[in-house]
Amino acid sequence: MEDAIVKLTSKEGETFDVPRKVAMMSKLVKDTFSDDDDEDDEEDETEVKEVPLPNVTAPVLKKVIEYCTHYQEEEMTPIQTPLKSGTLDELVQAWYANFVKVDRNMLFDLVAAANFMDIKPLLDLTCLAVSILIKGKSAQELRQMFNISAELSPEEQAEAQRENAAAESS
Amino acid sequence: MTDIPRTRRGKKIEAASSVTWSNLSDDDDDDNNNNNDSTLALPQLPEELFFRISSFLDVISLVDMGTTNRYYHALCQSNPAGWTNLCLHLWRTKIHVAPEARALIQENALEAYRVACADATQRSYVTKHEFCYNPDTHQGTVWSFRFKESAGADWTSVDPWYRGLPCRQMVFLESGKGMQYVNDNNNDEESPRLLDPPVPIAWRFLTRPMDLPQRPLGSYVRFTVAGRDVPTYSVRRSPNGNWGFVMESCWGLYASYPLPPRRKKILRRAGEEPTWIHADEEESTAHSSHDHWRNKRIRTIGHPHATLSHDPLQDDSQLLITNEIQWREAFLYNVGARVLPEGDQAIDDFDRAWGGV
Repeated sequence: MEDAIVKLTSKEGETFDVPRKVAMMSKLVKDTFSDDDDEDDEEDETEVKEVPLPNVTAPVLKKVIEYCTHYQEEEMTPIQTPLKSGTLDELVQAWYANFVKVDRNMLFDLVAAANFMDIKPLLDLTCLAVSILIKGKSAQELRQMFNISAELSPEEQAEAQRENAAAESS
Repeated sequence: MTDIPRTRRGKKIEAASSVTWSNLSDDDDDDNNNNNDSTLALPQLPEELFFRISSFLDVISLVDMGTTNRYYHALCQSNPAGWTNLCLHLWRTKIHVAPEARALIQENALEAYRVACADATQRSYVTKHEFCYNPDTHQGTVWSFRFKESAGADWTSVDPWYRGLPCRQMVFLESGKGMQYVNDNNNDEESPRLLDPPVPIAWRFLTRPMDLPQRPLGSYVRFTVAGRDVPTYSVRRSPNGNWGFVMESCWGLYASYPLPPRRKKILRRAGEEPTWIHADEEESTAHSSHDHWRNKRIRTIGHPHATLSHDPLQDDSQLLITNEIQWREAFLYNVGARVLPEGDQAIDDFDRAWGGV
């Protein structure tokens, strides 16, 4: 039973064989199993479960599986607010800090995948990584980085500057 | 197929397979490959995910994120963006937080944050509620007290703080009475306890002591000890940034939180700057050429009770109310006056009575 395999299928239809324990980190996957519990006891241990993940592309799914696999060997340090530090290397282990050193698109895709598949530690890590991208950037830099169009009216602009000043003085 | 949008400079946005919010941006030259095969960008994340991200942001970053555009402005001002936790985490480290701010937090945490910070920076006098102590509910402030060096050895020699022990602590009841606050930590029942002080202490607020400018009620406290007025205590916010209050006269100091233990001053040889070392380090200072270096090193050791590495209240060097400032009241006390007059008229009377003092 320890060697039970789960098949995860990406958006493109590519299938990945994943040890059950690894796959169960995803609450989405876990829940599809418990849905079957009411069915007959005839063992589905030999029957391999297949879970379609239409929202997750193959490259992203590979990364997710990589995360969950490593997690079995080394549990990630839980991330709690308030953060004790501003740098990833001081908040999680080295492997995890490196794991999120990916391009921005992949990072956002990982956020979405972790959310869709309901994998809390991965969601925390990826959201934290995005927040670190945001930290310390000016509004203009943020717009450029995330491709946000600037629509703030001059009044709103001024109000925001006032907020900034108040925040800084605290 | 849809026309691929062009930036103002006419550059084609690369490989945009569909028109998304991110592609509509025509500001800034987009020569980064950000849009390559992007299935998702920040603006497309659902709100809960954005809030999850923003929950890790500090105040400045959260405000800056809100200046990017109208959508984020609204998002970043809402409670779930992180303001509730930012308030709670900050306030946990502070001694006094304005009750109006606390009341606001559920409705509008950003406003609560602002109100609390504004109050802490703008109000430098204490409210009666903050000043007093209620013995029935144990709500209120426990004040720590120590003499200043300027009070003289008669007083400092019997002041526990000067021996490295915790300060004396007092509370002030609404009735106008001062009580000793004793927290023995004995295993027996009723610690902490309130005791009558060795001599009676009465308190009241005033607004215009002789030597200091008019200020709102709660800025100045007059103590009457064993029937004699002592020089006025002037209230301000603690210089260490913890939103607590200190009140200071020419001879004494109160804080609305435990005072940091004493830092002893060691006078160096003539012609050199006095250096400060921790009281415990006294034995180890040898008179050698390495002294200067050693003292410098000891000087920067952080102290467990200090909020900053050198808490401004660990010695008298940064206190403000000197004998020179409070000279009239100090003089009157020293010549035996029982009552210290107050108000503008009192100054004229004093100057007339004491002439060229």
